Amino acid sequence: MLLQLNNIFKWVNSGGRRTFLLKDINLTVEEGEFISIMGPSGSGKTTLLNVVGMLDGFNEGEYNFMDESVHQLKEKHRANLYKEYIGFVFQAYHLIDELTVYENIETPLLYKKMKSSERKALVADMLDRFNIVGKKDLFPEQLSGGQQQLVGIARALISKPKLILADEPTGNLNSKQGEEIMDLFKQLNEEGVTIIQVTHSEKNAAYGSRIIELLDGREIK
Amino acid sequence: MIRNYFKIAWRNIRFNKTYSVINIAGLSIGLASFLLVFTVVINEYSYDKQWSKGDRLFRLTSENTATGEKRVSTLSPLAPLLAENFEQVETYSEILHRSVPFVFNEDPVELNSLQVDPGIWDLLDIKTLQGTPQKFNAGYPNLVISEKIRDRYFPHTNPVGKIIRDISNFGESSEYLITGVIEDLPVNTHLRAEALIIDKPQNTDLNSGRFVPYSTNYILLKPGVSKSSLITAINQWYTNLENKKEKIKFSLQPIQDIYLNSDEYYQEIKGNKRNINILTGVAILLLLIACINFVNLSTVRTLKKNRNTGLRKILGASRKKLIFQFLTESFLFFGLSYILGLITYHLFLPFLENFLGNSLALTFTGNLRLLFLSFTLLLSISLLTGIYPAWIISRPDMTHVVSNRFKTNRRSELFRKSLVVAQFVITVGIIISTLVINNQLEFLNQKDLGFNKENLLRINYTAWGNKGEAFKKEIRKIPGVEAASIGQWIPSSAGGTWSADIDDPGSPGNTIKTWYIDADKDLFSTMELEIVKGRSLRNDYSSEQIDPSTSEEEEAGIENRPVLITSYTAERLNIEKLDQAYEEIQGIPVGVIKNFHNQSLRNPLAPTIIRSAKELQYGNMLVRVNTDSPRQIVSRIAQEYNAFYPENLFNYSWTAKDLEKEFRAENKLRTVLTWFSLLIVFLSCLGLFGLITFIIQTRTREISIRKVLGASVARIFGIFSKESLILILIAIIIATPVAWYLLNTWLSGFPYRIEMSFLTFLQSALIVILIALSTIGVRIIRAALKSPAENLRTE
Repeated sequence: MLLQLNNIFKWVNSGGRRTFLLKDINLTVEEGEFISIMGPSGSGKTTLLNVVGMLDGFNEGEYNFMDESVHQLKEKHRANLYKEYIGFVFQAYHLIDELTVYENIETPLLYKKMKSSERKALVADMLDRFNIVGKKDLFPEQLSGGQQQLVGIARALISKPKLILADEPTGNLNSKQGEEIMDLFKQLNEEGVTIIQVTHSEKNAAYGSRIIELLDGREIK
Repeated sequence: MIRNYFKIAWRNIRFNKTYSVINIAGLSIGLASFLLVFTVVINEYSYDKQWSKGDRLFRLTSENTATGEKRVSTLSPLAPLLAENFEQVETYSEILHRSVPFVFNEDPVELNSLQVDPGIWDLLDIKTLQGTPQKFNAGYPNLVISEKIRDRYFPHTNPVGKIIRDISNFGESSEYLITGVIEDLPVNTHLRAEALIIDKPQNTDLNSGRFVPYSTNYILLKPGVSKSSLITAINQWYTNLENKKEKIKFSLQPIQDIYLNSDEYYQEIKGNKRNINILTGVAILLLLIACINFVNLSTVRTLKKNRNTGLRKILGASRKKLIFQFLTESFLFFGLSYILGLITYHLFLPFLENFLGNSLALTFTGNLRLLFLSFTLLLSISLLTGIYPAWIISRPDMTHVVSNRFKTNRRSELFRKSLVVAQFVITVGIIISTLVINNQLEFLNQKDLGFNKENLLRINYTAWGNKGEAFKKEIRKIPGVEAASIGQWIPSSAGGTWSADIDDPGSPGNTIKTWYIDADKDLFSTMELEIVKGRSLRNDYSSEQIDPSTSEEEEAGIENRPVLITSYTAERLNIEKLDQAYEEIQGIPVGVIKNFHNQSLRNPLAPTIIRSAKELQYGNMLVRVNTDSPRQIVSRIAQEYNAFYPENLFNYSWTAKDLEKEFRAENKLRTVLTWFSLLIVFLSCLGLFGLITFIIQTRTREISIRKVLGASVARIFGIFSKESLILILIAIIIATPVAWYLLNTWLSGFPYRIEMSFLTFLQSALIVILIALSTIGVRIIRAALKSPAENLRTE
């Protein structure tokens, strides 16, 4: 078991009224799964993904990640945990615009203790693997959307995460580019990486092994 | 890691051109000016710190306890007497500045010299290059010249042993024996000179009844001697001496203090602590403005950088690392600016020296220790300036990235606005100060002195002998010369030939310092004085003139001599009737003249009495010329002078210039302030420009939407400039009273001063508002003119 959410609640208070973003979510993810989270806009998909990714907190419930109780961890430990095991892929790619392709991929390694030669080798591998060696010195704005998302995935993979969280990774891409990305995810999953994606598209959801549907912060069976 | 930081920082500098240019230009200008001013400050404070016995070396000063007058001159036999009577005194020397014209290879050369005793070698560290000047050669005064003078006038020869003549404009010329060549004296000493004239003290008796000269005496105490107990003993000893005229209290002034702490003394080479403080303040403010620009532009950039920061955090960056990264970037900015600033600094050094009128002993680029100091300073400033923006920039949370919401932080916005206000407080303040100081100096320059200072020529102090009148007659014949007068007073030095303390009729027990001017009767017409009441002094009436050849006993009838008094004298001394002897003033006032400023405008009016003197043997000559060709007239006068006094050196100056020199420090301050205020206005506007550029970048959509909804360009300009305008208005409100208070303090140091007018303040405010609005206007209007479709599409 990779992670487990038990009775997770998350809410915001506005004007004396409590609005629930997540309501009693229970989720167990085993290693090697490929899960798709679906649901209409505002149903809490991204919120759930952020909670899983520890980018966002929650108000009630328990969260265990690889036998660690995330809800009891301090901020710093939590940060160490997700840095070590989780990679993120975003709909809007979220590359750092002031860095080149090479540097974007390299960045997560910079924040770990690693020899410069080792770092170089890892980045070079990654550039090779995604066939973007020729673009390594370009800046994000000089790339097409599909290429940017490739870089985004490469960056997520560089620190060898156990879990990849993807928030509508193909949302800004045309269908052909989208397919390529999804094929890539499929391949990664086969190599043993656990993936949780948020998606609107049935077709993309079909790549996964399990679908979780949300509505108004609640899981519907 | 660090390399990576530097790489990214460098890229940021290159890619954000506006931002980088504004920051680097601002910082390098700020740093260069700061270093220049600091150089002056360091040099001013370095005066006389180099003497190895400096902690035991003192100048003997005196204070007249009756009048409170403080002087650096004391009776010249005093120093040898002190050495004789007090075992605490190790040795002594008189050190007196004298400008002596010598004849070197037939040419007259004026050397700025120090008249000293043989004891000088034990007081100061002077390195001998040639000869053994320490050994006093009897027979002649010994002349010791500096290396620079030797190289200029005796190249490739050994001047030691030569006998040199001086040119004396009064009395016989004397001969000197060159006994040595010394290394140039340091620039940073109040004893700056090119030569030493060494002579044994002549007269060691205070009570000989003969004339006793005054000099400036320096004494060296033995190690471990308490200065305060010694001075008490000296004052005690002096009180017990008989036959003294004045009640005098002595004190010992440490040599290190002489340059900067001699405001109350007359001294040729001295600094002005107040001006140094003003300068330091302004330089710090300038640097502060450059730093504020940096902080503001960096923090406003968070609007663009938020996302990247959040992303970096998701990718594993800790806040500490992000802070460190930004500090690297700010250090790079400061480092680049420092290099540029240092180059600018070095290029400007010659101008600075030229402006100061003397070379600098210490510079940042000429002294490794100072260079290191400046670098350390730079590091600290870059750290101090960088830490706040680093804090702000590293703050955004990663959830902001995923939710794509960035709140502008109210607190940091308020801080930024406060900084802008602070910047403009400084800007408005400096503009007000520049205007007021300008007005005050113009006021002093324009003020009616009671005489015409323009085209008034002064010929140096000369022993006229009995050829004075004849010379004067010849001078009068030169076309363009309107009047000439020999007298023992010139405007701008002391207020008269001598002064007397006369009982104050207004408050019994107190005295009033009254000046007496001895001059021939032409002084009245030469100075273009005006009569108010009575008559001027006559020429043909010989009893109206002092005959200097009469002895003191014969001058018994002195009370009956006619004199001229100023209106102020009449008022203060209660003189109501003319042609009647007044014993207090020793004369019969025959005329009252309009008040005139016989001293510089630094001094309030004092009662002044003009006496007419016949055939003055010694004195200056004042010549009134008309404007057409002053140069030609001067050369004609020089010709006549050399014909009459071939042994003498002709020297002259213009009174207007002499008077201006009295306010040289203030005039320099004015020049510096004018430059600094221009720089400060420039930097502030640069900052504002950068700020508005970024703000508009983040609000282009808002501008476009407003336009689509029907707002005119003027309307948009109004909306966006309103915020800046409010900040500037707040700054004006804060700056005005502060500036008023400080300037009022400054002005109160002048006996003749302007009252600050409301208009000056209004003028400053308008200048700032206008410049600021046009700066930001350029940006706003450009943004407002853009097609809204374009802006909305790109979003």
